[in-house]
Amino acid sequence: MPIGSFKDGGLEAFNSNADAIERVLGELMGLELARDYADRDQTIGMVGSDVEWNVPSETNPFLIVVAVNDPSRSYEEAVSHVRGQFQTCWDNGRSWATGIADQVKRYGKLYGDVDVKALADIAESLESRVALQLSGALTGNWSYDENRGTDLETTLGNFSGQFAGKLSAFYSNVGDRANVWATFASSLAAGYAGTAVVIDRCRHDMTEWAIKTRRHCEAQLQNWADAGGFGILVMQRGGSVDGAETLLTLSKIVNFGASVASLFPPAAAVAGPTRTVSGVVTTILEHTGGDAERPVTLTAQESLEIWGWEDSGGGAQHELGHEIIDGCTQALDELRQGSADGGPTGTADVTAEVERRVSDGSWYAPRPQGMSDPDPSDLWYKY
Amino acid sequence: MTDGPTDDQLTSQIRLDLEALYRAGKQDFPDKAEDMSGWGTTLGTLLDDAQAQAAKAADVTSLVFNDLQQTHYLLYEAVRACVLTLNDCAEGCLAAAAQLRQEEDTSGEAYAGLSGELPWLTDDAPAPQAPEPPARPDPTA
Repeated sequence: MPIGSFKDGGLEAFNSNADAIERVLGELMGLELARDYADRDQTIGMVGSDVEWNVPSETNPFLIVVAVNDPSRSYEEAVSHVRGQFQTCWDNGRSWATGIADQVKRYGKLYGDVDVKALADIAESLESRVALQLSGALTGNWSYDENRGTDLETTLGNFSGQFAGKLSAFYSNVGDRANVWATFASSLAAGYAGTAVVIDRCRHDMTEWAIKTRRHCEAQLQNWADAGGFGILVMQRGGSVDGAETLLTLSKIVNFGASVASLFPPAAAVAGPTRTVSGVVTTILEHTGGDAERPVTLTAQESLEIWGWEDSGGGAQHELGHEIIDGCTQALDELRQGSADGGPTGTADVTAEVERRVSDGSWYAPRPQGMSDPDPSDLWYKY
Repeated sequence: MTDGPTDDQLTSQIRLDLEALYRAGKQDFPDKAEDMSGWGTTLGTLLDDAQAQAAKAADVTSLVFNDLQQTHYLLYEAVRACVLTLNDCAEGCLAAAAQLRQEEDTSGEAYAGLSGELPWLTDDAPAPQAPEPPARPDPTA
């Protein structure tokens, strides 16, 4: 699955879907309350004088018809009473849903405006233009001319004194340091790539959730409209005449962070030899293929069950807040902390290892002092 | 007791060592410094790009970005410092060569022979200096 964060219109479309979900859920709740009222009110049924009520849905307006038989009121009063009760139910339903969109939009902002494609490009450049170039670039006795029979290592061996010693120490150690930097550049690239993928997967899932949840709610509203006429009297609590079922294809993000971290070159193990650092970024960026999908089916038909409860299982709210958002947060945490099977592999461990090397003097290449202006008494030719 | 090298052997050895020092100072260290400077510049540009993305990140990603920025910055600093050291070493090799020219009785002859053969390597031009990537503030400070 290629990097393509916030498909189908980005954050703006996500927020638009959030508004629609709140609106349609409120409308569904309004209809359900009206149905419950009609069920409770003994004057309402299929026999009597027809009362028409235009459902004031912004999504899908339709007409409901019930019959009223209320000897205590005139026909006009009875009609007015029933319509008023329906309107109150409708308004209460809309009120119940108020705040859902804001809650959803807050999740949308959790990952900020990070451009994951730009982050993936940084990772790829770090690997190809830095890590792979650094690796082995200064290893060995690289200042030589085979045809002329000269090499710096042999020449430096013909001198004694601190100047030659410092230069020789730098010359023989800089290759190992460059290899270490190459390995950490590779880990860094892996960290950027992993972060990009986690954010991308989370946004993908949020987009999928928003589009499909909206579609599920609208399908349920359509069921109400299709029931038409006396439909309000036949729509049963907990199940419609023709229930909506919606499949969400989400990412299998759990354990993703740890599996990315396991691809980091083992920071503690890098000492001298050139490491193979190629391909880590590509492996990570292509990590979430078809086998990493997590299908979720929305089957609830009542607004309360569709939206659900955040803490307990089931419902769209739980799926977004707990499964998608918490799952991605956990993946990021795994990316930082690494896997539990030993070795510093997470981004936090990689940083700590670099800082440790800075502290003990094994990070920077040795910087020989006085190199540009050697003291003549400190440079002795052995011959 | 073994005899020391003959004057011809010494002249030949000094000539080899002078050539190695000049080659290192004029060509090999500057080439490596130039390479390192290029990688450092790339690292710096990518650090700027990454900082731009980190600035857009929200709280939930800040810890990971902090780690990455810190590693990235220290890597940049190491490569940047290495450019300076390679530049210094280039100068040092030429300075050592200049001193060797004056140190031994036979050095003048060795240098004369070498400079006649490789004048571009042995002239008095200073060691080429690769540009040092600019200092950057620590993004996590």
